[in-house]
Amino acid sequence: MLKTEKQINFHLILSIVVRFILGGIFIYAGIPKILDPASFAGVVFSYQLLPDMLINIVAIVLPWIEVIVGGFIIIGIWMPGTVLLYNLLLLSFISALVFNTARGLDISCGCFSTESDDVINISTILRDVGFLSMSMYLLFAVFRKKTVQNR
Amino acid sequence: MKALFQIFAILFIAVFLGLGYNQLRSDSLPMVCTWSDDPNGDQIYNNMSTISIDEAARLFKNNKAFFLDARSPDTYARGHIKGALNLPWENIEDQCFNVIDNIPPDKIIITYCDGVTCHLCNFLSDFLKELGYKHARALVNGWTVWNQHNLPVDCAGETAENSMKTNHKVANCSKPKSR
Repeated sequence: MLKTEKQINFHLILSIVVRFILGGIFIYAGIPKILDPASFAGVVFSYQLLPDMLINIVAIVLPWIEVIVGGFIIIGIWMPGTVLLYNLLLLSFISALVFNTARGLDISCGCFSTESDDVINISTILRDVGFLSMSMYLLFAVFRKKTVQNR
Repeated sequence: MKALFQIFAILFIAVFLGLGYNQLRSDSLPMVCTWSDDPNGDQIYNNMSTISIDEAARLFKNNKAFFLDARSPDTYARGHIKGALNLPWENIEDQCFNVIDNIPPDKIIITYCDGVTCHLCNFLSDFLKELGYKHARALVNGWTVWNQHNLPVDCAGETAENSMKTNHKVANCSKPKSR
């Protein structure tokens, strides 16, 4: 079934808006962690999911992945890989949040800053699920190659 | 296949930039730390003072300290250190002055939460220090170690009146920008 021009334009505009929102979220989340890797390492440790040898490396590299992926999504570089990685990252974050909420850990989320005022709970999970729904829409759009310009 | 290549390229760039930037920092993070040997996270929170369970118990018995529970109201209501007031970190801006108004600044305040990786008590004690409570100290893994030592607690049902007393007022209280 052929889509009307109006539908195509709607999806094109929607995907661009989603790209800016998702990209902005990751850049906003990554920069404070880049500026304070020691505190972010503490947050990573508090999740109790990684061995000691990986904690600092993750704390150093993960924020840069967030910022690069966020920037690439906004600009539109390497969209298939970028959007796929965005979805994989969100799925990892949600899994970690669900796992630690389920086992009752009273820890800071570390989602958007290294401060302690964002304790993990059901609302932080729902927030990330909301982001995931947007990124899955974008993934669908990119791999259908109909609504998103790759570059 | 193309997407996988792009993912690896992004990861490579991130590793390159992350490690490079870390090397350039004056306070660069070591690649590997023995975090498990330091369950209190003192590598980061080494400027925060803590108190031992023995000292906390002695102060409790001599009625020389105020205890503040940094956990959520629900968790607090299920049980807490006897006489402790609830000052959940997540609501600190709304509740701090309600709870601490009647505590003189020269008194010892012991904050606690639960779990060796719970730093809410550290954050709370540091926050109180910035407000002028210089004798605020954190009892790490407080609820668990308090119970392990069979020290007095208030259990569910005994706390409703106390909680209501501390929640009926609202006041402004800004968090400090740095820990």
